[in-house]
Amino acid sequence: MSFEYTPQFDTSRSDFVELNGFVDGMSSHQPSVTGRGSDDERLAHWLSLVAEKRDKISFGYLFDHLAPKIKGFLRKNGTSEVSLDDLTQEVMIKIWRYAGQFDQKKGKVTTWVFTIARNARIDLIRKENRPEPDVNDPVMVNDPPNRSDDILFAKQTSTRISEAINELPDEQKEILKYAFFEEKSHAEIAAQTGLPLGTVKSRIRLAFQRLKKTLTELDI
Amino acid sequence: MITHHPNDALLLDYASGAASEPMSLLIATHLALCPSCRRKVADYEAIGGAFVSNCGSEKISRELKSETLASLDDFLDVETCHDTSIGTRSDEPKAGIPQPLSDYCGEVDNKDVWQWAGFGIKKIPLLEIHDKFECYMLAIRGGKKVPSHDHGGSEWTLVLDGAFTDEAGHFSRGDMVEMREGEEHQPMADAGKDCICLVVAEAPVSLTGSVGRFLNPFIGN
Repeated sequence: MSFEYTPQFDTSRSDFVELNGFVDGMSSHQPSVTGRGSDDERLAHWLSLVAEKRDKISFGYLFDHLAPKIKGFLRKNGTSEVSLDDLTQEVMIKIWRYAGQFDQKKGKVTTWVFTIARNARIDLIRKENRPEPDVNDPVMVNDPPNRSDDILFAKQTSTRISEAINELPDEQKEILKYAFFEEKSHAEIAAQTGLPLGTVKSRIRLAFQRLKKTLTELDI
Repeated sequence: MITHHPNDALLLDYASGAASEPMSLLIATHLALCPSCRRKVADYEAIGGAFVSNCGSEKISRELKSETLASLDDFLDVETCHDTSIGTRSDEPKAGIPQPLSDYCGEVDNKDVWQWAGFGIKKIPLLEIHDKFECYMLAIRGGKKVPSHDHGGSEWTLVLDGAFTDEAGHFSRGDMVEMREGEEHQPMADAGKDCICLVVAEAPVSLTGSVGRFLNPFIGN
């Protein structure tokens, strides 16, 4: 996986301005430290040093790499200018504190960071709880033994998932962007775009099916 | 065996963080019982991760970095989360109210937590401060019918114990059913056991029929 990835489709065709930003961000992507392996592997390596050795130098690399993206993500989600730095710092400190909870088998560092940023926003900005299942709950139903498609997303690099997202039809990409960049529920997306609720739901379903198909083909 | 799952849109709302607390409670409780929907939420979170990794980079001030690095010493111990259930959790599904719902509803075996709502129906109101959604536990006595009612907005019902049948099918533990605005149904609990459900409704439920209209004040609020 190279860092000089260039989107394979004609971005000028997209009439969705913000989405072009999504693509631009990717093509200008630069690693903060050079080295071998994918971005994901490097992040996971630094994070393991933070977890096991409380290594501040590795944390510094993580900070340089992740903080600008976290801040960008939080801004897109509508976090006010005054809260941006505080919330970015909060997320970075949580990465330091909870580094031991990251499990590489379950997914990528950026996925884990996304969940931390999401939860920090709900907690500190919306001041709501976000109930989650508890892995130590004896009532929780166990995962079945791994089937091959169970780990399809978890084992893909972030770049591959991004490529697959970029290949989605604009109307499906747009819905995912509303969901993840603007934190809009499907009902809010329907209200804002004027699309019928059923159309929004089916676009979400189709987008997911299509991503799965693309990632399965990449996998062969 | 769960046969009725939340749709992709609801799982996406939960994964993106857009879901309100009552909807998150509903989905999270289903997830505790449903490994395949947990997998899907994890997949959506991976999509969220791709969005984060492709965010345009913002400028970070030197002060923010030095301030952050300076505060690391306050948290020298790394916090881990051990899954202590490994070995204790059997593959046999266990009855009971799963987390996170049990944090909200208390001990459902305790009669005192239930409010009588008439006609073999009891309820426990949850998250009453929420203005957009009503959220409550419902217990329908085995063999009883809930009066026919339609819906002013969407309503979601997650079965936790017992089972019920309505026009759309048969629903048992872990199954989730969505009723859309204007849709009408008349659930009937299977005989022999109370059917306990978690219900989240967008707008107050309105009952139809003469008994229904009479029951409205009990079910709605």
